[in-house]
Amino acid sequence: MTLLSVQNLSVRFGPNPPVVDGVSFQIAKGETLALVGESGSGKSVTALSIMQLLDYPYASHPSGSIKFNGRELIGASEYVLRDFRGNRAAMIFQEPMTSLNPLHTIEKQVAETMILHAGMTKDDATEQVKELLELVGLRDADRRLNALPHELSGGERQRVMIAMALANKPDLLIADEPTTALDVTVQAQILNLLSSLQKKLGLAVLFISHDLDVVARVASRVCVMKDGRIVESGSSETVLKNPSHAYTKMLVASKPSGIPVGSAKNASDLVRAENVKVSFVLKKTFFGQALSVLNAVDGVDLKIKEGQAVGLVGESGSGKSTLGFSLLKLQKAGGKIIFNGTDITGLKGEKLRRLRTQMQIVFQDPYSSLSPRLTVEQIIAEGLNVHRRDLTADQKKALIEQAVKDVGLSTDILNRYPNMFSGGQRQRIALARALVLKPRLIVLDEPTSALDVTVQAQMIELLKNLQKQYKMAYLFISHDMRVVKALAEYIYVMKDGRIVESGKNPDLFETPQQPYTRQLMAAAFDF
Amino acid sequence: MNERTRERWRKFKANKRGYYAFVLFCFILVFVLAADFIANDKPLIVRYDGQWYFPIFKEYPETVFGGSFKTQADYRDPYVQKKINEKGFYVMPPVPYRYDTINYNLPSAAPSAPSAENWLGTDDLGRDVLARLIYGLRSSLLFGLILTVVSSVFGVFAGAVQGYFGGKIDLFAQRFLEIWASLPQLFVLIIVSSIIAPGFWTLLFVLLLFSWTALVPVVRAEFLRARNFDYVRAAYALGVPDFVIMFKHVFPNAMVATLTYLPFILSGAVVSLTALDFLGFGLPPGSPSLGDLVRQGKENLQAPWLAASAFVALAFLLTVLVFIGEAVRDAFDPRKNK
Repeated sequence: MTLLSVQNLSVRFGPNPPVVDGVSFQIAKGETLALVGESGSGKSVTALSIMQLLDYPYASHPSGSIKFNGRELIGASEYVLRDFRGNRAAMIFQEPMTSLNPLHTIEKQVAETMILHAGMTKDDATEQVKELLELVGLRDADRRLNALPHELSGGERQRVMIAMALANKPDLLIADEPTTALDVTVQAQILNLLSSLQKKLGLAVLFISHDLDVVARVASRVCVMKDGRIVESGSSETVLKNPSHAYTKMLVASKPSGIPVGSAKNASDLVRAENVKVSFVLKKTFFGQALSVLNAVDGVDLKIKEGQAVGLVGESGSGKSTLGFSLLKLQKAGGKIIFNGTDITGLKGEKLRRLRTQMQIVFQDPYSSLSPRLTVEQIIAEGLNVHRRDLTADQKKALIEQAVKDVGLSTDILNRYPNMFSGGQRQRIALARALVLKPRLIVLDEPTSALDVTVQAQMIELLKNLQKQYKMAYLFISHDMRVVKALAEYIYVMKDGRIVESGKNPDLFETPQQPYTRQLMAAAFDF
Repeated sequence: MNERTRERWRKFKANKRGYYAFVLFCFILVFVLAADFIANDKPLIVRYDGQWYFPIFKEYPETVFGGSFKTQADYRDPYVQKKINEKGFYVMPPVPYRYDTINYNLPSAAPSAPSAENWLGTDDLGRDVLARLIYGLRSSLLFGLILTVVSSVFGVFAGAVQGYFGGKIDLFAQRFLEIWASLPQLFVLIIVSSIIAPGFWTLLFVLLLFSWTALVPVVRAEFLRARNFDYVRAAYALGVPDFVIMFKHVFPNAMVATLTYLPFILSGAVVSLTALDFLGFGLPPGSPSLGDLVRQGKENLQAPWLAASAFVALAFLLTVLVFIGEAVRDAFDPRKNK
């Protein structure tokens, strides 16, 4: 029996052309439907219009109908909608950090809808909250009713969000990228939780994701969205195994694959780090004595050979970025770091600045790593202006153009500002900025995790080609085993500031020694 | 002008009150900068014996116009006026008084009430109030503008260094600022200006002692926030020197907060100068100023035109500045898009 039926839905903002255009789908009771697509394809807007949560009247529906249990939702009165949102349908969002109110206890937040919609008393609600939190698998639920959101981890917060959504036993749950912001191992747990809850409660779920593997795991039917339209739909089995539409084929094919570029057999060590330690003081006495310390990096030894791509894998908070920063002397660290034969541990000022031409970094978020007020040319020229004063303006220009071509962009973008580019293009610009100085080492801090899957695949290809061409070494920091497998020749696995395992590419994946490594692998490959 | 700037200008103009206040302010500024041509006791031009003379720019002895003294011609002297009119003519400015011109030809004892001759009356020494108001506004505005610029430069620099480097520098500078801000400003100003002979530049220095701190917290906060931006870290990783990073990459982020504060700092500066003048610790005696006019108004309650002129001028100027400030704030507020 059809629970939700969306017919020919269009959404537009202001006078702009529609961002969702003629979307139709149905969800039956107890079924999971997935909407898959890259960022900007209109998935979230579709979800929000089902809940009628868009910014009306700036947003409008030129056509379409949304029927829930046979009742039309577009244009329904606020009274009807409020009942629908609280009692019949619920939504969980991508970002568990910001979707909970930081000032209220989790009990209060979960109980709120029950008291408002079901008219429960406070005591009854507390009982219910306890049951719900146990249902969503929050550890020590009865002792943590009074916890504030910041006392919980990301995964735990997402569990609380799910508990909130289930509070009034809805028939429909809309999950908008519920696992994207979570660590891979936690992601797997949350997905398991969602599918078990769905079976137990007979929920209908609209699952929105960009990740095909996740979708294959939870959804029975899939709709693939591109540019506001559904280009293909069907059972997840057929769509993902035998895609018919060209776009779906490309999505399926763009899973990271291939083998890494090998380095020369007799390559010398470019970086040798011994016993690197970074600690942050969390709490100190009035006189500055440390009371509690977080050892973000705790005695790490690491080697990168000339021209070698080294992967550094771990969950968030494992200290991998901090380690990467320490190797570039962007972060104060103890221990010893030898770069290209010179000990750079105590290097400072002018000498260190001169060495920076040889080591560069590319950050995770391409939206924040380019200054919004400089043109692409100015951004790329910055390193040259500091380190290559000997060059004439023409020579600089030639180097900049070369770098832009190397990263696969055309030279007529040089006078534009970063805000005119997509995430993938920006990441290429950031790469060109690092590349123009011809460094011997680039630290890549999750360079692909903010990008769409198809763009991610292109980026990995590009990185490999550049590595071959310029014989650069990479330190590739990532949480995603699949990407690392496609790119890195040697891999370090990091947990809680320590290296728990390391090994050559195929060997480590074939015979992982540590349970933690196996857990990471399971989360990445076993969907 | 890039897109962002154009958008801000559009939003600034959309705030009608602020926009008109800004137009008015520009008009006043141009008007008072031309004070010498609007209120002066010398003619704008003199035509005498087939030749042109420009007394505002050049001093001419009385003998040039057929007088007998070799001193500078006094154009308010009926004798000189008569001599010029014999062989030519002269054009006086709309207000034929300078701030220090004493009108000896008053119908009643000074301060005398507004009349056709002295539009806003005269003060207790027989000087034209309108002329003094125009010159007073000019020194207030110039003083305010210079003080604003200089204290912004110091404030931005101090805030930038504190916010960018952080750590011990920030810690000690913050404690210093706390102590500095808790000094009783007015008393210190009075003590300092009783040691140093007050003049335009010494007063500027004295007021600068306290006004430079206004921008420090704002700029510091922006720098603390922006120094962890990825593009700032990327510049650091490129080996770009600290001061280049500070002013090329970080400062534009603090620019909005700085610009938003400027009109309010300007109005603060005008008020401080007025307060010092009122207390008699301001500009040297005889110089035209709003504070001096307020003081005269207080001492001559029987002559309400003194206090009224000063009050209206001051209130008008400050209101205009606050309106501009609000409009600038709106223009830079990204949340006010719709």
